Amino acid sequence: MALKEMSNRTPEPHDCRKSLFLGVMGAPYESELSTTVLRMVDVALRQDHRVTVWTCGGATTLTLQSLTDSKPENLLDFLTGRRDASYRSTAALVAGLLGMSEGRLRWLVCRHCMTERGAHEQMPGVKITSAFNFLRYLNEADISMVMGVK
Amino acid sequence: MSAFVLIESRCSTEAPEVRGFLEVAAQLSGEGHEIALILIQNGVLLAAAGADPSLEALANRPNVSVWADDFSLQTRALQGDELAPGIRIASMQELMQLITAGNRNPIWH
Repeated sequence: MALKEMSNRTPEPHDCRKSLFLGVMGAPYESELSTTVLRMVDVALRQDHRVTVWTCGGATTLTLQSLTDSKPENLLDFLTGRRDASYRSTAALVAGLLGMSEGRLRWLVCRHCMTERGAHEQMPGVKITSAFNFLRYLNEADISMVMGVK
Repeated sequence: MSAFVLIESRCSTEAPEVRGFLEVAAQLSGEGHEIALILIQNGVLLAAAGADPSLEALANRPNVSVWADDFSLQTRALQGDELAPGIRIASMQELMQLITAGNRNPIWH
């Protein structure tokens, strides 16, 4: 039986239009954290919530302009006959989320962490902000969660 | 009494703190709080039958629900019939409903 078919219970009716703050720490590819964050943001926006993502540490490189729209070719595709496959970069995925959000997504980049990594060339649409604003954004939200390395 | 959403993203073989996180869930449950424990990423490895007896005991408590992220299960080739009793599979849509319902306090590990 497929996993989707086994998911037969809806937790409970959800409250719409809450504000979520997701603090994202750590290196983008150390785990699936980046994937999880992007999945969460996508679903939260589709459920009409407002989302603020705060990227700290290595997560500030998720939105580098130099990532361009596509990731480098996957070398495994050479072996599996999928040489025409392409994969969107995290910057392109964030740009897509910002585009679909109709202003309900704020993607914040910690200036201190960004500078420490030389990640100055951020993509359009993200907001670079002082580390001292972290608590302000966290406290503004109905629901706050810090994910990754602490 | 309060309600908590605890999210475990690691398995006990990669992070010894997982044990403490599950103990926190058990303690909060013992104090009467409502607990939704979400397993995601490597955390779903705890959900396999026999992988963690303390998690199975937790899942049987009346004020605790344990949810495993379907995508994380799929990417680890874990099938529903391989999970411990009482653990439910949920999509990200359902997990987001858990996180945003009521006045819960989500805690990520």
